[in-house]
Amino acid sequence: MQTSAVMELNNRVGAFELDSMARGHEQVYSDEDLLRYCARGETSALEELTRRYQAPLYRFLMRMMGSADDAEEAVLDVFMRVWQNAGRFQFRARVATWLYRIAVNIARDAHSRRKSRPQEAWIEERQLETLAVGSAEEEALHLLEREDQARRLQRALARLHPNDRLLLVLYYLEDRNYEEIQAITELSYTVLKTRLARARRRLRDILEADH
Amino acid sequence: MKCRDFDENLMDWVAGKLPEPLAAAMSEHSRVCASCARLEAEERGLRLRWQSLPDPGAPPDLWLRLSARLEQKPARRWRFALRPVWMTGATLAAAASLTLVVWLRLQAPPTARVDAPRPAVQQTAASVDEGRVVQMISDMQSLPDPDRDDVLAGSEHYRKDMRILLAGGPGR
Repeated sequence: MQTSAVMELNNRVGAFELDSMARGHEQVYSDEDLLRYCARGETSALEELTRRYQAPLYRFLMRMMGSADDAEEAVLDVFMRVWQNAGRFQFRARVATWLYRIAVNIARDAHSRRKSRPQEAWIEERQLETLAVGSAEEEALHLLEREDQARRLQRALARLHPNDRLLLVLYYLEDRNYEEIQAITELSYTVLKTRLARARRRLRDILEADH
Repeated sequence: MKCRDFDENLMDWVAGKLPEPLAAAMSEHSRVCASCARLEAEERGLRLRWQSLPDPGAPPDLWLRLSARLEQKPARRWRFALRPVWMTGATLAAAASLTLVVWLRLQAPPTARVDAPRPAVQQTAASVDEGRVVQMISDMQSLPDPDRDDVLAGSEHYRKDMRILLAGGPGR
């Protein structure tokens, strides 16, 4: 009787949630644990993984793709791929690195699909406008200046080659160290340093020309 | 420190990723080198620009949309799962048909397979009446051995050949 009750509970809430109850809610699962549960078909584990990574991945994809709609669709694709391929993950790299690598691939695929689209679509005005909303009067000037700088940087990023953009976003925006960027991009240290410096020079040239 | 080394380490220095002795050397070089000091100012300005980019936060209702997609997925998986069954069935049916055709061909009567009449020389021992063969062998056994001398001596041909041979003519 007790066994059937446990089985019924197991079917209803899933092994991940049962395990959570057993461990207590203060227990923090590692990304690797969550991925193992995903491989067993536990949607609650995917939900937790999504909660952890949706914001950084969305921010990253937003900078890479330039459009909120495209970035949202790409984030959904990232987690769908995670769900479908969780069982194949070899645990040689960090889960976060794997997620970013999937995101990079999706962004590259999207870029190659929309090459014909006009570059104006790249600039996302909506989120920049929100900066001024609700800001105090005395800060308005400062915010406008910030907004202008952000807009210029967005424009400059849009004009960069996607490979240059990827390295700069990972380095400056995501604040990733060289080892992590190497793992995501699969570049050697020397090549990464050279390309990052070159990308920075190109960005600087574009910004100077736009000034 | 040379300007080239300064330029190489500039990004990491401004990002605060360099170890202290190297960071101090960078700082000292920037103090005495005007062109490198300008590069440092540019890099710090660039960092400020990156920081000016607003954080878009998390996309709204992402998990709801994701779980909706996950619910759609099993139906698609079910269709994909059926595909191999159909393919396997079709392959088995094709193989069974081929086997049936080959078997029917092998079972068909020989007349149906050979159009032209076969020459007599192609008749094999298997098609000869067995009783007749036994009779032929027993008849042959009752005949004298043609190689025996007494048989040869009684032969008309043998005597004629011997005379030719003794007279110095050509043999048989």
